[in-house]
Amino acid sequence: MTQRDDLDRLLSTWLDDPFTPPAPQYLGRVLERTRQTRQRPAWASLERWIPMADKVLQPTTAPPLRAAWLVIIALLLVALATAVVVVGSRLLAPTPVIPQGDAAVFAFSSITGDSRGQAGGDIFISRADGTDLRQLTSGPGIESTPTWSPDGTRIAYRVWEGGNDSVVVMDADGGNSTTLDTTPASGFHCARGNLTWSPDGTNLIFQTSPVCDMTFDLFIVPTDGSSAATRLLAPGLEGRSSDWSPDGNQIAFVGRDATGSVGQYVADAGDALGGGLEAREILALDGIDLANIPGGSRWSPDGTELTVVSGTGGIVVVKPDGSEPRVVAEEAFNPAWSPDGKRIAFHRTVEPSEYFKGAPCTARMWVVDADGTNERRLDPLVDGCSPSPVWSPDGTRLAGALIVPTADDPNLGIHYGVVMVDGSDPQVALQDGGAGSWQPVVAPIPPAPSFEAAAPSP
Amino acid sequence: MERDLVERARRGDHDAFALLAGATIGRLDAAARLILRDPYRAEDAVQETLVRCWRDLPTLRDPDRFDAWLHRIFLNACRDQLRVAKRRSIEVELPEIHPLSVPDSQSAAADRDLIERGVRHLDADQRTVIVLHYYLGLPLRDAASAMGIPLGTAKSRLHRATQALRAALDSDARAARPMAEGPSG
Repeated sequence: MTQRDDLDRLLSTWLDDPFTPPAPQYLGRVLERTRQTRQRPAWASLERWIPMADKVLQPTTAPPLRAAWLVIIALLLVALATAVVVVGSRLLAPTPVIPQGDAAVFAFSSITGDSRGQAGGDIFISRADGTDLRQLTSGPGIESTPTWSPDGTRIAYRVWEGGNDSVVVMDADGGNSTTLDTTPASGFHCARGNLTWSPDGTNLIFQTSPVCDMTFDLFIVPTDGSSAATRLLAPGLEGRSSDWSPDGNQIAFVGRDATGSVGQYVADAGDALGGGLEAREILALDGIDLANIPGGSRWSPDGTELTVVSGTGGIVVVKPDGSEPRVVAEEAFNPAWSPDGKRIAFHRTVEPSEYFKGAPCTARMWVVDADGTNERRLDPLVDGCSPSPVWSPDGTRLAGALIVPTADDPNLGIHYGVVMVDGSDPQVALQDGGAGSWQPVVAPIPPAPSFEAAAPSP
Repeated sequence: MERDLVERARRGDHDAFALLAGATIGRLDAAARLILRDPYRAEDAVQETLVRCWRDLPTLRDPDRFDAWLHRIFLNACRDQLRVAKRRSIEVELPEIHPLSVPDSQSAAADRDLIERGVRHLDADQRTVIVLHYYLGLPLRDAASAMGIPLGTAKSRLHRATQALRAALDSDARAARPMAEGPSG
């Protein structure tokens, strides 16, 4: 029985066995589930846009007349596309870039911890060259994720204190703060996530994970504090990492439906403040865990494209309907568009030999042209577990959590700081810090608030 | 016939999909039980396979590749179940593969039973390649593609799996022999 011939015969018998097992009893349940499942549109799969590797193209034998028609149709399509691009570029011109240089101002949070794992955090602002450092908050909680309003007059941020996560808005000088929402959050790590201003500055979207169970909701709240926050999405859909389109008409986010599938979604903003938005999945993100997304989708400055981080570990640029995807960087995450929309900065993990304190999060900033060419690496190590790099409004600088020594501390440490995109100047390292954002307009730096400013950490 | 059903199901015809599902679910269920060695996880894997299949059918470009595509989804669903099982370290009693509720020749049933018992002794990777190639009838190239490994790796894995299967059957035969011969005294 155990001779080679016997086993081969058994396997052949097994393969050729005409016996088909009867359908199991749960077939009815499966069909009930599928009947209630909406099919994905054909264009919603990246794979569909990529040529199948095992398919060999045969030389065409179509008659010349058919070829002529195809040429005519192609020419018409090219003419139509040209017209759309010309007209579209006039309607959706990129945001004008304002030279700011070292005078640009950014806000960042000084997340610190001690040997017992307790942490504190306050909001600071500074000029790009590290001068005019000012502390704007001094509360006992962890204040983080400072995000400038589109007009550069206010800063939204999060506060985690005593098991509660609050979203607060204050003026750029640290005064006049208003708490917009407070949600339970059992740990600081459950109270993280970006804040997204609507382009007109009237509303703010934020994510919550109230019971810290790796489920996520998006909420929207008016920034004048006139009403309570509302759940942004229709029931059955979770969301994270939202971004408002520059024209304010659409909201992109990474979502998870009731079946557990994660995808890139876009919703029409409409009456967003009313909540309950229905959204459409534009790309499946197989292999992505919503609790650990490698960077969210971001609109290009002209609103015609989105960056998406795919499940296979690459940055893909797509149209808002999910069409025309193109991979611009492989093994890359945390993308960020330059203000002129011509480049994308991102993080890429380094070799294990370069890990900082053995942390696989250790990464470098990279910059690539938006068409996927001219990829170049910036020198300092960075903390890839921090959010995406952020561009200065004039596109000359990138801020982020750098792993660099400071003048006071020759040892490597994680410090919030600024690097020149062209690598021309040394980086500016400021403090231990988390996420930050640049003031989007040229404005006088506000006066220091009344309390004593903290000295930069060693 | 199947191509026609696939085309109709791609366009949203749920009745066509029900026929497709009915024709494939028995064999998928048996294959999942062989790979996962747990009827409940097998049911979860097959349900997930067919739900994903229905949901993503419009994205299938070539209806002639339906079987290979379905088996890829099936294997991913089985992998998910194996990951869960690994995390929870659940050991379950090995169940019967399926009840024989339709007429079947006795020798074919005996052969099938023999080999299916042998397969249960293999590790997950070996079970997978054996089931894909010999039970579901996938060409080795398609099996490799479904498993996400190079063809060469699939060949060597199949070779090792076949050797392990032979050893398992050998061991079963040795264990069964004294019983077959009966007690001596």
